[in-house]
Amino acid sequence: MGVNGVGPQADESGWPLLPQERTWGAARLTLTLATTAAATWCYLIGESVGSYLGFIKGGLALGAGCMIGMLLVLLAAGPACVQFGIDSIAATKPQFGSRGWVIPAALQAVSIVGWNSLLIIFFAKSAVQLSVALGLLDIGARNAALVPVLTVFACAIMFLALRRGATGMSMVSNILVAHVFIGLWMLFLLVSRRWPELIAAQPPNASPDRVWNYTTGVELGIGATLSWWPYIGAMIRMAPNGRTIVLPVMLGMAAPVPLLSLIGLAGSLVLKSSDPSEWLRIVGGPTYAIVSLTFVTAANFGTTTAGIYASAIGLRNFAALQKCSWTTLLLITIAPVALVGIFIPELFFAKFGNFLALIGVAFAPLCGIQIVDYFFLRRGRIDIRAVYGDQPQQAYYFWRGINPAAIAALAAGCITYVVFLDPLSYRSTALYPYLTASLPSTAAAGLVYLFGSRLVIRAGRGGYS
Amino acid sequence: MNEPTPASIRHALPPELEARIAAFENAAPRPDFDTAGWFWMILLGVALPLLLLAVGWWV
Repeated sequence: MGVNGVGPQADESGWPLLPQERTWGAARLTLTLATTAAATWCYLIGESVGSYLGFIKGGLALGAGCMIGMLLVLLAAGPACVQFGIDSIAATKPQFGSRGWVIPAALQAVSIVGWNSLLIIFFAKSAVQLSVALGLLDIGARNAALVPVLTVFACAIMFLALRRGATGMSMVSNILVAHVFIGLWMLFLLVSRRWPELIAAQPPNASPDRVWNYTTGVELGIGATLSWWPYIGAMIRMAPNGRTIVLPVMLGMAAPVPLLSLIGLAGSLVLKSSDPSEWLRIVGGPTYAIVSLTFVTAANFGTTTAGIYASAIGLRNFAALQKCSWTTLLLITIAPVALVGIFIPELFFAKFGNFLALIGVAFAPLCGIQIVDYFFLRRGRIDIRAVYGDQPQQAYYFWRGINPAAIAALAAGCITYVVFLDPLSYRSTALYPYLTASLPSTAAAGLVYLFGSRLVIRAGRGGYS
Repeated sequence: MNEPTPASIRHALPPELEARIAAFENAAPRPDFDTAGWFWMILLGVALPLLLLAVGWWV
């Protein structure tokens, strides 16, 4: 309920949440973030790392990369989100302008719809496999036809859960968080039974340059956690202050990714398959496969639910959607995911690697811009009124609602990334093995934004005075 | 930020949003991260990755 006792439920709006409305403590936030982070992508990321690095080196490189990436996301989106109870998209208005924010909003929409589509397809496929394993379905080609049906079913369940807003998302997380521990148990199983093979296994696509291989492991970790930027604001804004969010974000959201990615890393190295439901059948028989499929099904469902919620809150920033009902907004958010899951599922499977790389290209510079703006230019001062205004006299109007410094910085960061590492071919520059691609991209965007903002400040725009 | 807001801007916002913004403007500025938060961020986001990288490189 709003400040006047009227209006929409606060957690279903894109408006700033008042301190008394932010009731999530560290434990609740950790559970929600961990459930969001743990999904099928973990073992796909692990498989990607396993192409270049062995188990121990790969795990350590991935762990380092994930923690670095998470720190960047937290420093970029965290301060504004936690100060004013706003989401990731609203937090970009001081940098991109009162209209320019649609650029990060588009990035968020593409990212979340993409990821959610991928995960919901995995969910549906896992549910079919689980039904077969439990004897509820026969093995047959027609089972493939069940995938779209299960996609629609999952979307309907998510819709019903999210009708309760952030409370619904938290409720789903409380139920599904057990899968994180199932994942760790699966990892223990593989490591304990196949340790000698695991240590001896050679990564199939390793470069002769061992520094390049190691850096690529780190880069994959950074890229993976940078993809949390669109999600994080909608969740941390439910916490009352900065102290409450740091450990849940760094341990609840960042740490499960490398830990559960070890499942895919180990599986791909030893059994040449990152899919735990496949290799658990080899290691432990059909019962273990059923447990694994339950894990996969639950994991993807939890993550997609959080993604839908974050996406719906992001859409609230569009004036046309501010007044529409939460139910309508949920339907608008879920529809693209359902359509992709029904009509073009294989396309998303085939393009996963490219998709992950493209996310790194977009979000690394975005983080650089936000960090420089908040900590170096505005020194922690955000005009919350200007975040929600779109009039020429307001601070974040810049020029026609757009800050050219942010656009130039974003472009510079993306170009820098591609120069350091081509996300499609993995061709890299000589400096890449020593610097990664995400970190120079973040730095380049930050520097261009810093110098570009000097001109903006000189012109008296942007509310920096 | 605590300067008087022109009426044209105030009236452009929905009343509920206006009330929320006014609540923030009338309250003391809220801090982002405290010392403990920065400590954990540096430990987990800088020191731990450096340690992991060093160990991973030498094993």
